[in-house]
Amino acid sequence: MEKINNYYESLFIVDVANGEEATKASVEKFVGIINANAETVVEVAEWGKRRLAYPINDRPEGYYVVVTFQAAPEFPAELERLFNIDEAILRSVLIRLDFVPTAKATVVEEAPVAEVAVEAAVEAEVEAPADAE
Amino acid sequence: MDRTENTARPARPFVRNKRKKVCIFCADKIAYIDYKDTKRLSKFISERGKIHPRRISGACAKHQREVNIAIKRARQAALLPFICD
Repeated sequence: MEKINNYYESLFIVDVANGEEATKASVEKFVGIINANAETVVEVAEWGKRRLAYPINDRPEGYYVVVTFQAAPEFPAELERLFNIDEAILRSVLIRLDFVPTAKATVVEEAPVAEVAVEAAVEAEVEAPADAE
Repeated sequence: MDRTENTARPARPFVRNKRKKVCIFCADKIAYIDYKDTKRLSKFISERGKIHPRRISGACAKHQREVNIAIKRARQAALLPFICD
C-alpha cells in the first residue's frame, strides 16, 4: 500500500517569560523535531512576540511559530503529545490541510486594539519607576 | 403545543427589504478561509466577541460553516477573543 502523507499546519505559542534564549531554544527544539520526522517541511514562519487575545497561564504575550509540513498520520499525534508535555509551550493548534500549501509568509498584523494595549503597558512601565522615586 | 391560537391572529402583510446580500467569500472566490487571517475574521464577530449569525454576516451556508470553524480555531490560538467586555 502506498504511504499516506498529509499536509499539516502546526501553530504553537512559546512562553516568553523565561527569557529570549529559552524561547529560542524551545522554538529550535520543536522545529528540529518537525524537521527530523516530517517528510517535507513547506514553511517555518516565526511571527515573533505577539499579544494574546486573552491571557494563557496568566501570560499576556507569546512567541508564535507556524510550521507547515507533510508527514505520515502518526506524527501529528506524537507532536501534540510533545507539545502538551513541554511547559514552555503555552498552546498549540494542529490542523490537517485539505489542499497542497505553498510557502508564503503570512504574518498577521496585530489588531489596533492590541497595539494600544501594548503602548499603555509600556507607558505604565515608564510611569512606574517615577512613582517609586 | 397548542398551535391553533396562532392561526387566529390576522395575517400580517409580508414586507421585507428585498436587498439581496451576497456572500463575500463567494464574491471574492476564496477557496480556504484561514483561521490565521484575523483581519478578515474579525468582521464576523461582534464587539463582545460573538460570531455573527448568517442573517447579519450575509455568508452562504457553506462559507458560514467554514467561518465558524476558522473563528473557533483562531480562538484556540489566542488570535481572537472568546469574550471581550
